[in-house]
Amino acid sequence: MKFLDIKNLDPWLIAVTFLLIGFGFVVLWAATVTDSGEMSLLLQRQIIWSIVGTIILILTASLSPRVHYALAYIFYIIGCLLLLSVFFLSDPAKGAARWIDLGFLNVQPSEPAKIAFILAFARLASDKKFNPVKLTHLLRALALTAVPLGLVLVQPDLGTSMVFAALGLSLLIVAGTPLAYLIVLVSPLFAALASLDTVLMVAYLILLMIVTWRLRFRFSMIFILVILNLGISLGTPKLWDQLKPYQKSRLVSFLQPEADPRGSGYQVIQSKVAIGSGGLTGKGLTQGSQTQLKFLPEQHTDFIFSVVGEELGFIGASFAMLLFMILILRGFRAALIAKGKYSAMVCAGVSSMLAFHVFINVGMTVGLMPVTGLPLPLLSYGGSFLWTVMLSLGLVIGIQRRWREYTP
Amino acid sequence: MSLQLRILAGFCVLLFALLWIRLFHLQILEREEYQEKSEANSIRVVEEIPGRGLICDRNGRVIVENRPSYSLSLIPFEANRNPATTTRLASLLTRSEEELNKDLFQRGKRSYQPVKLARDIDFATFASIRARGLELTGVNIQFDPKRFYPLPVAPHTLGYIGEISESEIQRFPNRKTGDIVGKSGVEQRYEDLLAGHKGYRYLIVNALGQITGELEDKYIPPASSGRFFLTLDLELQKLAEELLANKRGAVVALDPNNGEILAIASSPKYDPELFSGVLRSTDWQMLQDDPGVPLLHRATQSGYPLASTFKMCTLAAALEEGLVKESDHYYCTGSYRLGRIYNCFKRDGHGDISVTESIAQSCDAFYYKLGHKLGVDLLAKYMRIFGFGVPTGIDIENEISGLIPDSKYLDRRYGVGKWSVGLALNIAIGQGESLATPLQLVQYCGILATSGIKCKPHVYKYLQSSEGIIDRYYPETARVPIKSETFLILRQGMFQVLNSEDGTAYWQRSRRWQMAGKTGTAQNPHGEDHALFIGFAPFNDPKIAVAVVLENIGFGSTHAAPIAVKLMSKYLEIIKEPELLQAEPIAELNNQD
Repeated sequence: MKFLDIKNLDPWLIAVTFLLIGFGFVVLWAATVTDSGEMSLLLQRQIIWSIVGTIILILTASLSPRVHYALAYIFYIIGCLLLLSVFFLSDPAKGAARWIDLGFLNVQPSEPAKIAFILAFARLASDKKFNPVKLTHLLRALALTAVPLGLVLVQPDLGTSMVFAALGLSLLIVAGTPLAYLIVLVSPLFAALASLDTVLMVAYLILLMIVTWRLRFRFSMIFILVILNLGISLGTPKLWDQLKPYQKSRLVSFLQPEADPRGSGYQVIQSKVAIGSGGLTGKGLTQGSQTQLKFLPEQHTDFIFSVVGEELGFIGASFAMLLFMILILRGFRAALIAKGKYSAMVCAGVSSMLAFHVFINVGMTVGLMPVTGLPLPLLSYGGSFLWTVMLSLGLVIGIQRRWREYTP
Repeated sequence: MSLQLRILAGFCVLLFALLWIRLFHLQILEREEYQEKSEANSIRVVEEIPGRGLICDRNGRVIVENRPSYSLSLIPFEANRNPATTTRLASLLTRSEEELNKDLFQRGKRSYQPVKLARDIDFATFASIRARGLELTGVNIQFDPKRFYPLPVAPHTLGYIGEISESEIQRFPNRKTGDIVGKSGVEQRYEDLLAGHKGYRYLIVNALGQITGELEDKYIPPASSGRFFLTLDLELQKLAEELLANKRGAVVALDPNNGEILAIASSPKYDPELFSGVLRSTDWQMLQDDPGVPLLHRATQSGYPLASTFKMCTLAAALEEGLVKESDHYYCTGSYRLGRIYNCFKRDGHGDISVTESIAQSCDAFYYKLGHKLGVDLLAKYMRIFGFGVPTGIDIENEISGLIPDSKYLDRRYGVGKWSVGLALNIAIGQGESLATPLQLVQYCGILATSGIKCKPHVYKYLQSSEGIIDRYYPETARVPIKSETFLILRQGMFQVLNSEDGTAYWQRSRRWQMAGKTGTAQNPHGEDHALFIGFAPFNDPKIAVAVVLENIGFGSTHAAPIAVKLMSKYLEIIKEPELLQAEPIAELNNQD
């Protein structure tokens, strides 16, 4: 075990991680400060969680990739079992079944499941015999994605299932899946979105035909694909009726927040007002009227970025985005220099996961994405997600510092 | 594979660029529009203060109620934008504008937190502010709990409420400047249970700071705490205070089986109504300057010499240490000689007395002898066993611990080896340097009454909300390491005090109930003696233990014993005939307001 050897560490990766955590403390302090200027209990807890998280990060970083390579499938099975267990262990009275109450901590098993999924997928796709062009191999990878995605979707947790879908797609790309297959995979999603409008639907189907023809798809293949997409487009409205009311209202308020300013749209409007009114330099820490009047729901968890936008302005928000960008690109760099395919895929998977979280969360606060309840990595208040992110960063650091070695 | 990685990384950069463009759009291009929205259509959170818990006696009779009172607060941000508001308010409140602004802008001009400017405003002010609702932007009128005392009993124990101080804000994370919290007694100790939970209203406020609507679905109503039951018995408490009227001292009565305080009174007392709203500084000064120190809770904050009530402790020590047997006799000549002569209070001597008679007749000479044999440290050991020298742990703040003069203390006080063994003689009859609170005395009496059960005294019983009993006090009891044979002798002696013709309080005995007790008269170099009495009843199955301490009044047998006997008789009547309680229904209280 290389425990205290720091000479191969990527200083950027580490510095940015802790800069973001520190930035998170400042924002959390401003968002929850008491009238007498005292540090809130939430911040004290977050600091303790960060210390535990740092220990987790150091421990995982000292772990050889061989260890988690060997255990990848076991983790995956445990992860799926945990996802299954929420249906039996969580309180149905609270609606969505996402949490397991451990007494001292509520754990959302979908968080560690994301990491287990990345590891298992990386192991599967890094096998020398794995050939992404072969349909049976591809189906195996898809099945691996479908199980956790399905379990999360029926919880129902739209945001996390979006992360699983995006993660699966990214890993398929890295694994070398041909573009044609990817188009076949992704087209139903676009078909569903296109179903909102008849003209849009027709235009989309024509576009699909042109692209597949240019990619020299077989005629029969093009035909099947277009029929399939047409079917999905027509079937989507039927599926819409199957959605839970809160999911519907979230999607509606995403598309048209002003339609219901006191319901689901309320959060988005107030968040946009908070961020927009921050201007270039912001209103100053603890000076944001939207934040301090405490009408922004969950301003310390899911909507923490609104506080950044309001109190620190465009400069502060850009600074946070820049830090995230560096973090993610350093993750991809670790993937590029890693010798083993498994190692590279783990790094790429973690980076993609972080990127989607940031995109979905920040996108939500600025009204680009629907309200899904996904936290912002390293900034949002909450222990279990912070630990998941630090654990996954520990994996990346553990791989990156061994870039000279031959790892799986 | 590196190509695919680069594509994926590029895609992530693209997503970030998208967010960045959106941020630029919102914060730079559309900034003014959103800034306007943020100022124009902001939402103001207004707190609603719940009524404090009603404090009741053990039978649910209300002792402390609430009455409505309104206070006025102003949002600095609004006042800064619209200075006319402050001008108008200044004239309404008859205060100078500068003074008002100074209070208002303590925490900056852009603060959105309302600042409380006036408390308990009168109806005329209330009406004229309501009438000008739209002119006076940023003004809130808020309900504040104000205490109302239908019966002015037990002010020291109940305590009072007042505006939160800076140090208290740190203890209560959900409170802020201007909030009302318990400042002493039960109100302070059980602040968390009595305060209830604040409610919140979300008001929509337009660009002029006027309220244009409310987010009703977000309204959180305030939750009052409920009925807070004390262990006190109102009848007994009232009687105790009547008996103490115009005297200085304290009375404590408790149930020796579980430590429930039945009555706890300190005299002189003060009018709790003085503290119910804003305390005037002249009133405060008057209370501070009163030579009777009415704010002092004598039952828990005053240490007295124990005098002869201490003799059971000395005898217990001697019996337990094998220095004296039950069958022993002593011949009292009226004095005891050790270096100098120590006099018995009966100068011509008690003659031949048994061990139990030594308590009944309170023979000092016998206890000088025991003190001589025991020495200060063995005496101190048994004082600790009986709960002296440390706070009892009652749920009333600022209890003192009293004093046990062991050799360590005496060494510190006089220097090592510079104090005489004779000190033990005075300690043995309760006249030395030892000090105890009336509460410690009653706890000691309870241990004697129950032959060794030591209870933590407490005044809180349970909290009852609309959902039933939601919190309660769990009594703590322990057994003291003293043999039951010893207690048999001590209790027999105490029985004779009231029931033997030679007993020191024979003439105060009750003809109806079997009681036991012990008188005490503490010599006081500064004036008349302090009178003490501890007692319990019924003798065979004690339900009440009482301690009475009266300052500068004379003999314990003539002044303190009658009070204790009356209280014990009253309580035994109450529990024997519970219908007496129903005779005075709660409705009678309501008629008073």
